[in-house]
Amino acid sequence: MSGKPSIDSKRQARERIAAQRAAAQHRRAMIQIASAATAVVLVAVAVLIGVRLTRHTSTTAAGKSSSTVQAMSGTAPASLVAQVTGVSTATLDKVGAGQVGQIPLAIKGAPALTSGGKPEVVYIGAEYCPYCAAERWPMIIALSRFGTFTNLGLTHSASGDVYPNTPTFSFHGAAYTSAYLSFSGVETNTNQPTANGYTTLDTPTAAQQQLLTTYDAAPYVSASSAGSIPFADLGGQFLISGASYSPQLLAGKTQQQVAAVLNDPASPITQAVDGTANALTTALCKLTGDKPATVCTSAAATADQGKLG
Amino acid sequence: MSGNRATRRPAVPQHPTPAAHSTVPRPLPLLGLVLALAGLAIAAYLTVEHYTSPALLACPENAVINCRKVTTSPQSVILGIPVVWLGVAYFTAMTAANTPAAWRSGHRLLRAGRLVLAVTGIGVALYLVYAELFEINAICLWCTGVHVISALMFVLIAFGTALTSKPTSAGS
Repeated sequence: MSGKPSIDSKRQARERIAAQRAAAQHRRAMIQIASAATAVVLVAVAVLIGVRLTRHTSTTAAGKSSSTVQAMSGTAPASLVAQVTGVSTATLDKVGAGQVGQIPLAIKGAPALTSGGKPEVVYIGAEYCPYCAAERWPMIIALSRFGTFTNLGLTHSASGDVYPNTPTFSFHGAAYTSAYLSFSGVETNTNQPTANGYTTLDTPTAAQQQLLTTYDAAPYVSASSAGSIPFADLGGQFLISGASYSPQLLAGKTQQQVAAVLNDPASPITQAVDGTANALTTALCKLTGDKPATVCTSAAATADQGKLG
Repeated sequence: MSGNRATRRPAVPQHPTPAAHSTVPRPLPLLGLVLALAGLAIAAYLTVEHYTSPALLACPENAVINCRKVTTSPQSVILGIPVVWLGVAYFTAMTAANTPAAWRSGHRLLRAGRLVLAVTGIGVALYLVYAELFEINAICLWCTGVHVISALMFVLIAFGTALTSKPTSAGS
């Protein structure tokens, strides 16, 4: 009677130990699978980052070699500049407000921004930035109604960014002379990628950086777009943050192809570029006290008058 | 008396019942729940941002870190569904699957479903990291937060499932 329970309990104990061993073995196997799966994920992430860094380095190297080709274009051809700065007043008048996403925003209570006794326009952008690429076209047209640009460069937005290779000019190294306005153009970076972004080009002065910090931030622009480029301060009275139209309009075109349609009021490019130029002209006329009258009394310069505030 | 007790012991069920999975390490459900809720909060924030922020025609000062560029890219939609929605749905399901009760449950479908969710989550996260690095050329820090949480949840659930699993012959 007492022997049987003993045998049973021994058998049960053995079974229990065997079951525990099987469970432990199973758990070990499962933990090995989990460890392997974790390792696979870590390796996948490491490979992605590694390949990206490698590719970035080769892209940078390729970019440096192709920049030699771009450098040949260097300064914009005089004929192209003449085409852009010489958009006819008839076309600008006909386009009027055009098709523009945003117009310069009035700044209330800011000190006047001047240089050499004239209202100053400060532009901060970068050559890689497709939105800056879009905004330079109307800025050049509008400012050319008040003065003359020299040494404008030719460039395009970064090849690896959104709206790649958007054709445009560069303000880096350009000069502007006017009896009415001063202009400072800052291109912070080229369109050549580096490990941390793009090659540095112009460094804003402390005063220019202060403008960006103060007015390219809430409450003047939405907090989420603070610090965005292109940014322009027009005499301390108006600001531009972001492009006034989509760079998509210029996609796949050369500077010559864009310039060629700027006198065609029916072109969507003209509606956007000339329309933005007209809004800028309206703002600039407020800075110059409506001088020169031939420009500031034109239909182009008055099309956005009621909207600028 | 003691002999009687010994003879009754075999009456204890030999096969584990669902309650056998109650050997879940205590921090596991808590950690899973915290991660799932953090992921849900970020996914909800990104969803609100996705629908309320106006289209920004501008480049941020730092060209590499650019959340707007990532969340408005073509890759931000998978099979016609915005990724932010998928994120909210994923973390909602993960929150439910990581409650203490869900971890204690031995229901095979639930355990398998949680594992499938974790694998799907890390798979999508890896694809999105690929898209950010190679197709969009920009990184969204909020999205990276979601990816890290997805990876942590994958590790947590993989090891949690391993630690609480029983041999098939034992009825698990």
